[in-house]
Amino acid sequence: MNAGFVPLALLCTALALALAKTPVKLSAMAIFLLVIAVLLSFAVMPAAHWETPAMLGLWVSAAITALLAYLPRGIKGIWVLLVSGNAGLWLGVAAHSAGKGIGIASALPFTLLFLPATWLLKRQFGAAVKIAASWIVAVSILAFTVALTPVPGYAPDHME
Amino acid sequence: MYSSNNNDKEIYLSSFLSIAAKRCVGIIFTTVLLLTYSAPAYAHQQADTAGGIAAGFSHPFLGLDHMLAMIAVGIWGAFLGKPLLVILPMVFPVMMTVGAAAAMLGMPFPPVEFGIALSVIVLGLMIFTTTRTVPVVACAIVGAFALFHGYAHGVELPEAADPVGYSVGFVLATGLLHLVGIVLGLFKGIRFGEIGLRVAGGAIAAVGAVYLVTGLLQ
Repeated sequence: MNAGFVPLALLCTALALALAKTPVKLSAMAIFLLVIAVLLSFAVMPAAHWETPAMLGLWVSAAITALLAYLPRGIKGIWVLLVSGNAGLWLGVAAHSAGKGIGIASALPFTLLFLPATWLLKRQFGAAVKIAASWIVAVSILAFTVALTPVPGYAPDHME
Repeated sequence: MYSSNNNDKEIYLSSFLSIAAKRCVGIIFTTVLLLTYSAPAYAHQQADTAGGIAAGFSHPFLGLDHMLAMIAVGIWGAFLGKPLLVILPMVFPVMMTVGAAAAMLGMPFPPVEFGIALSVIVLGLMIFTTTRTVPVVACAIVGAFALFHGYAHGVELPEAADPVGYSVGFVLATGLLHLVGIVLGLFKGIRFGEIGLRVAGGAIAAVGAVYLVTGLLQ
C-alpha cells in the first residue's frame, strides 16, 4: 500500500523543485536520465519483499532532494545527474517492490513542475518554491516515521 | 371509408409508437444518468487515494484552536515582514511533523491541549501588541508551538486512513491556513487595517484564553 501514487509524485515534485535553478537543457537531461533510471531499476530489481526499505529510501531521497531547492545557486553539473539518477533508482525500486508500475506512469509528469518552478524563480517568487519544498520535507519526515511505526493504517487487509 | 379508417389507425399507431419510443429513450437516458451519478461504494477504499488526503486536509479546519493558531502565524508573519513572512510558514509544518512523529513513536510530551491553547493566546497577543522579534526568537516560538499542534495530529491519526495521504493533506491544509493569514495580514497596509488586525489578534488571544480556562476546569 505504501508505494502508491502520492509518494512517487512527491519525490518527482521534490526533484522538480530542486531543478528550478538549473538550466532548462540540463533539467531536461536530468529528467531523461530519471526515466532511464526508473526503467532500469524497475526491470532489474529482483522480486523481493523490499517494500519497507524501498519506502524508507524513497522518503530520505525525497527530503534530501527537496532540501536541495534551498541551495543558493541550485544544483549543477554532475550533481544534477546524480540527484536525478538517485531519484529514479528509488522510484523504480519502490514501485517494483509494491508492484505498482502504473503509479510511476502517473507520477513522472510531476517532474515537469520544474518549468513553473523556474518561471516563479525568474519572477522573484522563489519563496513559493522554498515553501513547497519545506512541505515535502515535512511530509517525508512524517512518512519516514510512519514507515517505522506499526500504526493500524499500515496493516494489510484482504485487498492487498 | 374502410381505407380512411385504416389510415387513421396507421397514423394513430405511428404517433403512439413515436411517443413511446421517445419516452423509452427518455427513460433509458435517465436511467443511464442516474447510474453514472450514483456514488461508488467506499467500503474498500484504496489506502493512498482521496480518503487519507481528504481526512488529513479537513483535520486542521475542524478544530477552531488549530485553525486560529495557523492563521495567526500567517498574520504575525505578515506583520514581521521578510524574511519571517516566508520562514514561518516553512518552520511551522516541519516542526509540526516532528511533533506528530513524536506522538506516533509514543514519546512523552507536556499536556498538548494546554500547549495548543497557549499557542493561540501567545500568537494572538503577538498580533495584538504588534511584537517584533529577531528571526531566531520568532522561529523558536512558532516552532515550539507547532510541536504541540503536530503532537495532537499524530495522536489523532485515524486508524483507517492512509498515513501518507493523511500527512500530505494536513501539511497542505496547514500551509493554506498560513496563506490565509498572510493574505489577511496584507490588510495592514490599508486604512484601519492594522487596527482591525490588532483587534482580531486580541480576539484570537481571547478565544485561546477560553480554551485554556475550559481545559483547566475539566
